[in-house]
Amino acid sequence: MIETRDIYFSYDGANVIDGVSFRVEDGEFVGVVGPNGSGKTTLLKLLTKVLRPDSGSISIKGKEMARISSRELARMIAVVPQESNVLFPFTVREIVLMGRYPHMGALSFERREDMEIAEEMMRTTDVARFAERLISEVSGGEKQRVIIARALAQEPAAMLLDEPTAFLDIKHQIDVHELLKSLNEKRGMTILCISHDLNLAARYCKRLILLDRGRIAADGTPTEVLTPENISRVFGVNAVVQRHPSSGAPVVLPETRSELD
Amino acid sequence: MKALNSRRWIITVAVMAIALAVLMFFAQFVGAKYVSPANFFRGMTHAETVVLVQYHLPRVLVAALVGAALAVCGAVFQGILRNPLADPFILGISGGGTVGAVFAVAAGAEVVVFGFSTVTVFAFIGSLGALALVVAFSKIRGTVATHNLILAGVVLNAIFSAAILFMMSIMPFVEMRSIYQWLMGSLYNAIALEPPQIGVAAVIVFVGALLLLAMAKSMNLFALGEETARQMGVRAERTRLACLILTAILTGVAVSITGPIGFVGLIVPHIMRLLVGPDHRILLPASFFGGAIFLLVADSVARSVLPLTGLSLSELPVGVATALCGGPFFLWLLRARSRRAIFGK
Amino acid sequence: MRYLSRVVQFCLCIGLAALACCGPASGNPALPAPPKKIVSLSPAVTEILYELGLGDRVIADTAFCNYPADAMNKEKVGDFFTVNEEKIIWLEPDLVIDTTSMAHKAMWRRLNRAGIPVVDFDVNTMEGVYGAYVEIGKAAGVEEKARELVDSLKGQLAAIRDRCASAATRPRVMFFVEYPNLTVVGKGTFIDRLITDAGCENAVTQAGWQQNFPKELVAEMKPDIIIHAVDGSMLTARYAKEIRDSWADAANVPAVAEGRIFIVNGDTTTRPGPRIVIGWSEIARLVHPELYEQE
Repeated sequence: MIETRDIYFSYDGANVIDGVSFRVEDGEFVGVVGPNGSGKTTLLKLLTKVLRPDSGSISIKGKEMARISSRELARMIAVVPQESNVLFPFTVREIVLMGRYPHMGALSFERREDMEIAEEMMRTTDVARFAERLISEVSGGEKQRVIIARALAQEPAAMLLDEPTAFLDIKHQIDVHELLKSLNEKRGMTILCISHDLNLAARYCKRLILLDRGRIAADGTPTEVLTPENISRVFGVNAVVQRHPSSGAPVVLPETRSELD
Repeated sequence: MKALNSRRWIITVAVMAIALAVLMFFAQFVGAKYVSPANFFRGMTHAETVVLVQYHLPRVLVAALVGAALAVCGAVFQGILRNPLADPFILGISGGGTVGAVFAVAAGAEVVVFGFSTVTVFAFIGSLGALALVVAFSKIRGTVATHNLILAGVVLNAIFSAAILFMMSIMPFVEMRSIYQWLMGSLYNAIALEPPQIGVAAVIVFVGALLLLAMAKSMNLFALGEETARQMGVRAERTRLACLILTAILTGVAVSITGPIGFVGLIVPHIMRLLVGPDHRILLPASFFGGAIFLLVADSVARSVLPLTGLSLSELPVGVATALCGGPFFLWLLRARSRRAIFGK
Repeated sequence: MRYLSRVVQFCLCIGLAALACCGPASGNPALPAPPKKIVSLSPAVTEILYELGLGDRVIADTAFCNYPADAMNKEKVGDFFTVNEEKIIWLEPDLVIDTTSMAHKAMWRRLNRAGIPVVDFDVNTMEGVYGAYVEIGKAAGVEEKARELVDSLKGQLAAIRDRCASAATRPRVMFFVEYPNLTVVGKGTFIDRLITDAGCENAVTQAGWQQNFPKELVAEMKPDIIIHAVDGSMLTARYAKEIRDSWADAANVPAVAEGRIFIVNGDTTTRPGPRIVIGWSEIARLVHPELYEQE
């Protein structure tokens, strides 16, 4: 579904993406992890045509990125950013309806079909009861779910999320990830999720891509990727990796400096 | 507020259009001396006809056009630049227009294009020139960044102000006084326009506003953030440039006829946002009519309140009237509609 | 829908404009004979009208028309720069008299279209003033009187010129028309000629009025006499003293050293018009007191 071949990108000289090739198939739930500055967000921008690679190619559903228009891309891929700063007093419903724009003509109003899809997505993300509230009046967790509903309303084949739970409390972090899991399993939504939280990513993602200074350092199941060697080499931190008692997913327990002494 | 649909749109636009038409009709009877509308049907004296047609009608038409243009441009700038304090002059367009006008007078030029006076022609060129400068100076790596635009606009405004002060200090007093009214912003200059010129201005304003309306959905998406808008299919660069050019033309037309009239472009979009919501598909037409009505009323007050009360025979500067009419109304509306905040946060 | 309403409005505009065009066509309507309701847009013209005995036919003038006293009671339709055209139309005059000015041409056209004839005179020169006297006199049927007044004015000015021609010295004069932003009168202007007629020499060699004249330059020009012309309404003893005191720091200027700083009424010395004689005979007395000793 998403394929990159040898892409390179630099902002001002030094390569931020230094030869990345991977393939994400339909229905996969992939997590992208790595330290700050490893190029995760840049990769996301490259995959959504905000930036153009200096060399190499990206293709979505077999089509070259360069030949896909922004609107068409928006119908295939939806992005959930880390934080949304909505400037004007739109209601939750209006925000979710904006997800339908890639499917609407420039001069048209929402049809009944659009209203129904929006309604359904709000139900799926459990924000339907806030539909008429202003986006500025809902909590952080609820706002993220609204944004996810908006992304869903685009009816994409794949969703890219940039640290979607970075500013949420533990309950909401779980809620959002459960939602993603159910979308992935029940609707077959392809999900690519950038995350700083190694444990959450390990718990929910079936595959992890570990980025290190613009290159893929490891690509496989969470157990394969999150080894003490990889963590030490890429993050510069000593850690113990254990298995989660219920799920069996790897749990990374970093050792602080005082403990090492 | 329920979500927008075509029926609500049509009703809102129709109501506002009718309100504007009615106000335009009655505004003509307001002036240094009040003429009773009843006379319109019973038959007016020659003096009344002349005053109405030659002095009030052009002002009423131009006030509506300029108010509409400024308000629409203000709404567009607030959306595209993601800045609730933006007004049509933020990027230096009125500064450029004023430089053009002052230069025309200082140089003693006589260039009349299609019946538009020299000052108007030079002011329009100045406005477009200002936009070109702002865009040129805010490009990084070939793309125009929003924060750069605003910064470049602020700096250019400062430079223009200095240039204007300089030119005015070396100009003979009499010549400076002749454009004094233009500099303060006044609908008085509208009486120099004949129907063909008003028609040309109307066509430009109309077509420009319609073209901006076509980009309303993209402006909605800009509210989510420029990157998000991009990721949802908006060609941010192209859209922004198109909006800048169109607003420069509309604002340029407004400023070159009447001089810079402030406050309309800033406050009317906010008022309409409180009344009809932030969706640009309805906000733009609402601002269009709202701005027209607002400036119409303000000008009617400006030209009549002093002569009618006998305080002075000259007019109130329209900028004073807009502030006096709009300010308190907006504050009241803010309180009454405190549910809907101006800003998202 | 919006488009439709706009179209309707535009048609309304065209319709009403057509109505207006059916009225008097462009071009100055014929002068009434004699005019009975005159609007004067120039203080000089107002004075001329009163001199010709037509004061009661003046229905409105400008805020600057302050002489004679009766002129101040008239309806005001403007100041020197802005004119409230609407008010003029409401007054339904049969003649408007204005100063010649490019900037006013558009206004004259509009007044013409309203059926009001407009006449303009270049009252910035004495020749223009004489011409105004005669033309107005003709139109109002007092041509005789007008010519008498013109001859009298010319005679009085000639008298000043002749008397001062016999003066032994020609003092250097600097004539200021503004304070505190010193604006001085240069060569080739109407006031410059009067300075010469009054038996003096204009110390300023540049042409025209010089704005923002620096005080340091005044010292260089070494004027023997400094004259300040002040608006009649602002001419008070206190103001005069203030202006004189402002020169205290320029002791190296001959005029200051000898105390020959004169404050005069701008209304009678800078405005071409009937009272110019009053103003300049006063100046002649101030600059050549020796010629007037006998009186």
